[in-house]
Amino acid sequence: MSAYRGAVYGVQANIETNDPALCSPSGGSPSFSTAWAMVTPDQPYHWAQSGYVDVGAVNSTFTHGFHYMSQYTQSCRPTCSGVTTVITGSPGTTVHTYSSALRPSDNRIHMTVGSTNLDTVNYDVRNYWASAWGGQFGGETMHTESDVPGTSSDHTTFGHIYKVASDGSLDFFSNLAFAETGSTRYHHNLGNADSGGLFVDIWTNPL
Amino acid sequence: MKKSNRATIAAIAVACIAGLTTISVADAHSSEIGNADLSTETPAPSSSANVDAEKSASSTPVTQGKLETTSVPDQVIEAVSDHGISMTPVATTDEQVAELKVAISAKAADEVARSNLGFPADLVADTATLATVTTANYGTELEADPTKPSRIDPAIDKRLTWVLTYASAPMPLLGKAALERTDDGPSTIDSQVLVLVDPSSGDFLYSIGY
Repeated sequence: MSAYRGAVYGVQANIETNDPALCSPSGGSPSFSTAWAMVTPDQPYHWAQSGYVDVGAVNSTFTHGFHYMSQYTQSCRPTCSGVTTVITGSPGTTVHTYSSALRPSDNRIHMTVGSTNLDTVNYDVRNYWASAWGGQFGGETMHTESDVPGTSSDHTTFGHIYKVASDGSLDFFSNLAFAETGSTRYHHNLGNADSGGLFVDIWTNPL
Repeated sequence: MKKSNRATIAAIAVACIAGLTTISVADAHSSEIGNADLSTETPAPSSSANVDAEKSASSTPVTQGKLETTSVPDQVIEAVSDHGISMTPVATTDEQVAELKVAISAKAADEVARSNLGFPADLVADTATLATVTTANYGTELEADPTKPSRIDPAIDKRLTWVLTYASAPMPLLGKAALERTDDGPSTIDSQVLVLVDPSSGDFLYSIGY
């Protein structure tokens, strides 16, 4: 009997690309800001996600890095701190579809952007993850002076937010709740999308 | 005196004050996962606090490498092979690199890596090797039907690249949002990192931290 009898085997979302400002391009301290879609079990220390990340260049003569990223936890967690992170390519300026989902043909979670496979989890998570899976979608930044993607005039929109079923088929999430609240600078909005399902906007204001 | 004060204020303005901020939405596990075995899989409430502590503790100083033109260490080759990366060394000495007359030096490739990944200014790669590399897990998925075996056309396929290795470098630690989490300090994790840089254009191609 499969341990995964639940409805969520993965997540998918269209995420608008916005290049966030970071607090210091040359301050000698790395900084980053991200937007992502994640599948995660009902445990705090496992996840698999894909999205984009802006990392600050510590040498001001070089441009910063604005890339696709994927990250997943290694099987040894929580007894180890291991994660595997791939950073590659460039998201440009358009909307991309990000997915992190168990592929039934090989029982591995594939983290993708569009038709590109960014990385594949290198172990069978069914042996390590709790059976209840869910989805998370968000933006994250490392320093309080940095921005999450999106501005007051151009929010970063997460649309076509799907859960992936065991056969790879898609269905809208019917309910999402904010796991973490905004602040005086970081804002969010959740609503019903005209195209169906839910949408989420995030943005920074004031910049 | 005023000039001095302004300079101080400016210096503070460009400093990065740690404070991880996440805006995220999540589905409700209990209502979306159907008949999964929640009764036996509910995590202990203290677990997320452990993750927070890990994030806060992960920003230890990194070691400075020597940027030696040499072979990729065997243990690195073995470790990244587990992530679908294979390579054949082409130039492992300065003399062999010179013979290939590549436009981008190992030092320049190291600058590209540092810039694109936000590494500290004093962090230098431990090794630099010119090699042909294939990324089996990174590329175009040719089989759209997930019920059929994956077929990935590698984005990097037997391509000559600079292969830079770092024994310990800070990578972004992302992870799931947690209701309990507030500002929890620098969110990086020291990882072994392999970076690929195009030796002709200097383009940043790929990195993996593990």
